Amino acid sequence: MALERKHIDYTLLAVTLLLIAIGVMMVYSSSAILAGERYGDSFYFLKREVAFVTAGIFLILIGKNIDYHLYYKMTYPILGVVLFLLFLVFIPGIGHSAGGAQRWLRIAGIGFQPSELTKLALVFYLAYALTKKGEKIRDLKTGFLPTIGISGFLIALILLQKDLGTAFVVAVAMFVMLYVAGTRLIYLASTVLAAIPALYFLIFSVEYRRKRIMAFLDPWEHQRDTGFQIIQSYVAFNSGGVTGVGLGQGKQKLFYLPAAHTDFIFSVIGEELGLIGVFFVVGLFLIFLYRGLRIAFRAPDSYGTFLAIGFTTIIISQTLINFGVVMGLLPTKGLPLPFISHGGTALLVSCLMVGIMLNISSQVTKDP
Amino acid sequence: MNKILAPKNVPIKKIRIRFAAVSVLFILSFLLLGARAFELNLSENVKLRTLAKNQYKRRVVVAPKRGNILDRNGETLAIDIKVDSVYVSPHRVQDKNELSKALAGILDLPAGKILEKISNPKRKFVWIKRRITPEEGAKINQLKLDGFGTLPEYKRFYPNGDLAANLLGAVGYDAKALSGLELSLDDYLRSQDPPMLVEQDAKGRSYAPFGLVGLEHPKQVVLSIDKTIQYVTQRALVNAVEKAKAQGGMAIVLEAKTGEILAMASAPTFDPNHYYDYEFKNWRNRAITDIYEPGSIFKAITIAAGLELGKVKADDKLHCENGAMKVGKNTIHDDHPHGLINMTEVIKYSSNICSFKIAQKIGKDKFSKIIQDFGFGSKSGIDAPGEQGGILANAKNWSTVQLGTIGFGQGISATALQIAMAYGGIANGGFLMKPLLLKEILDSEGDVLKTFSPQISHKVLEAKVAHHTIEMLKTVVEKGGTGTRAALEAYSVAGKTGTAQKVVAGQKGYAKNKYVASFVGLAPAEDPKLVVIVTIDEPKGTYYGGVVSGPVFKEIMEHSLAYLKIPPTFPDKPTKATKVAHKGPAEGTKPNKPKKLPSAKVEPVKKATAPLTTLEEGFIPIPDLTGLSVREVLRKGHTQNFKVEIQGSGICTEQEPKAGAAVAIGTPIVVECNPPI
Repeated sequence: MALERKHIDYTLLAVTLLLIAIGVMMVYSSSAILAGERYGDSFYFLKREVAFVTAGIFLILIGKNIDYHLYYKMTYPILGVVLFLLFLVFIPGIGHSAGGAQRWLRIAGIGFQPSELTKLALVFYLAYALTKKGEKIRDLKTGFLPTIGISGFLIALILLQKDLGTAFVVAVAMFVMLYVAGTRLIYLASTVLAAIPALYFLIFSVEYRRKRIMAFLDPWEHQRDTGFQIIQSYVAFNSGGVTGVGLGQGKQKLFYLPAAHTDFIFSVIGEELGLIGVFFVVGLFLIFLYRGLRIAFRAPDSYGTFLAIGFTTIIISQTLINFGVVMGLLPTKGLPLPFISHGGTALLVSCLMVGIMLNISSQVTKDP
Repeated sequence: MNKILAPKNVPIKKIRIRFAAVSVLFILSFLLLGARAFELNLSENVKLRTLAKNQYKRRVVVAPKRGNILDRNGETLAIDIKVDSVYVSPHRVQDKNELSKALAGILDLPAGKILEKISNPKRKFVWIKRRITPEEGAKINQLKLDGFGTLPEYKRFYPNGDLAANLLGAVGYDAKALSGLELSLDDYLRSQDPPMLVEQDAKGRSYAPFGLVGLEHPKQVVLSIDKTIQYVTQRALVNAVEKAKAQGGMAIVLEAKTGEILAMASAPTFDPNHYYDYEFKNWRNRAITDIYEPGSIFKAITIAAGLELGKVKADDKLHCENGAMKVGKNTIHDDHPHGLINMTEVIKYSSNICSFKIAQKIGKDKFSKIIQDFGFGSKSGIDAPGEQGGILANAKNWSTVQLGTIGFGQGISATALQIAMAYGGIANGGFLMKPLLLKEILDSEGDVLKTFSPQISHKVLEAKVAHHTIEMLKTVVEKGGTGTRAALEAYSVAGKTGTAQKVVAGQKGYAKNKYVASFVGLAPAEDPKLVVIVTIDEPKGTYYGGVVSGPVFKEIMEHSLAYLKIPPTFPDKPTKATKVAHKGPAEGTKPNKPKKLPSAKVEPVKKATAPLTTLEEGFIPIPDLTGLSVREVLRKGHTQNFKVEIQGSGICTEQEPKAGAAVAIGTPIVVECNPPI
């Protein structure tokens, strides 16, 4: 039976490319001075960003052109490879740490974050499992427990790499997927309750996380150290006003705002492009959510629906958490803004997700 | 389509509804964040605004800059060069030990000292090392630590080393003039912009987004000094002082018709690039600050006055009492006994007795008046600091004897400049000029802002009298005269020797065996172009002016006339010096090639910690102001008569110059104060 080719979701593609373009622009604006100082080349991060974007667009095309049903069959091999890479991070000599966290693999000179791949692997696994189990997911022993067991194991591995942000996003995606698949709410609620002591321990046993929480609760009290970043983020937004101080004219990136070109890039948008820029970006993500929802609704089968739901949830929840952090509504955690922040693996993974969603959109059979 | 993937037991509709519910939650979150963005971007948050304003802006003091000092031909005598200085902002330093060690390694300073300097975390600015080398700067800038930086500032540089150093003076830190023309022309030379606000990044490094605009540009000054003539003069003087093992010396080259100073040299001298290595006696511009009894060189003034007032005629004869004349309790002597001689011979043989008699003939009032007309007893008003007016007692208080001794240059004291100007008056047909040192003020681009023209002070002699006096002075260097060693081969010279006993301050009468040997003269005698005076202070051994200073005069005059291409009086006798003058000094004055003049050996002063016991006139010792409050510093400044510039408030922690140093009166002391901890 020949595959019936439909139009892909061009709106989703356009929104994604627009977000990436804003990203390239803002990465350059916010990193030029840092790059000039650190590497003697103010285009250093821009060049890197362009390289990643090129690879990312390539990945969108690959994702779009591979029939997503292939992943269904490949679920366990993919899971195996990701697990293998996650373990590899802990092997000295191969794994690298950055900022006190064991997160990186260095392969052929390119840094690589396996925890980002976990996002893909988990969505693939859950979509597969939920499709296969169907209504059986409501059953505790055969449905819920094995599923949450494997998912929880993956999340635990990410936590071991001290990547709390990614673990949190992956957990949100897991809960959303389990919930929409029809898991009993009591199971999910119990899981959350069980996780709370662990979460408390995770946060308050680690000095920097505890400090971050304290800084979040009263940033002005910790203005000189842990609260510095969030206060500087406020300053950025506040300086921006309605129209912003102008692209490239921001001052917060002059080492006032840490991680200006990565996790806190949205602050720079707030400063340089103002409320208009902020709403424009928020708007783009809302459209992204809507198109993700639309693809999930129109997917030709439940596997496609679950994939679309998973990917959309990953990207949107990460966006919301990033926004919440830079605007001081959530405690600081290292999490890039999808498509916009400068960050290698995260951008590539997000692009691949969009590619797969585009493939799903091209196989739509009928209107829901 | 792969049918296995759509098992019937998946409740697709419920999934959609549930995800729609989740999406609603997402949308609500977005709305919440949108509202938060509204609040962050639009609310008037004074706290944030103040924080932003304060962290971006910084007051910086723009490094003061000085304009160039140029000679009459535009050659540089003093310029500013850019150097970097290292500072630390202790309140930004993360690891003080690490930073101290890193800086100490590069700057060759003890780490402990740096650590001590930066230990107060509240201080925002501490100099660690001023004027570092470019190599040090390059290394400093590679340090990946926070809380320090380099600032460009300007350092005064004298490309010719000690050339005209006593005249030019020196400049300390922050473009502060310490002495010399640097001090007296400070208003022209120094730019002092008020502190300005610049933007800074979070590491405390300032940047000016639109450049520092509206900065004041210092003006340049053009002196009447000719670098080559100054070189010749200074070299000849310093050599002579060295050779005679003298205390010091001074020499001036004056353009006879305009009063322009072409050279003004003092010995010993110093290198203003390293002024701190020299004693203050080396700094003095002796040609205007040191007064001495002119001795016999004053006889020309006496005779000219006698002629001008008609009290004597050129061919009148006077009896010189055969070498000794009793006046009251004292006896006046001549070196060589003479009987009846004419006016010319009085000059030629330098008779004290006959000069005494001429002065007596003129009388107190008229003599006093004409001496003052010649410029004695009052400052000439030259643009260099520290000028003395000399001593000329009120004529009413002159004794009869004093009237006579002034006739041969005793009982009056003057600066070398005053004598040179007086001889200039004779050389210039009786018109006394005002000394001209500052010719032009230029803007930073080199365009002329102001020109100073030669000025006649007043007429002192009739042209005929001036001419007669010159004719008489010519005989001094002729055979049998006292100044034969000053004679030039190619040019006719008119001049006068002077050998005066030194008056020692605080003592009565004259010091034994302490002389001031001078020669002052003009050439070519028929049409005087230059006046040169050479005075050697306390030469050892031979002390006659004609012997000690005469040859120095000859060397300076000969080279200068040749250099200025003045046609020789006797064209058949081109001298060796004529050639040398075209070659030698010109080489020594190539720009950008600092060539040190041979200078008297000076012992570098060890850093004075206690106030100097013997201070040169015009200098004051700097007290220790550290540890005092601003109020106390100001009170001390008021009672001890020095200027204080306070920076900051609280307790004084740093001062420049340091305690124990001595500076010229009027030099401000910069005091940095910080609030007590």
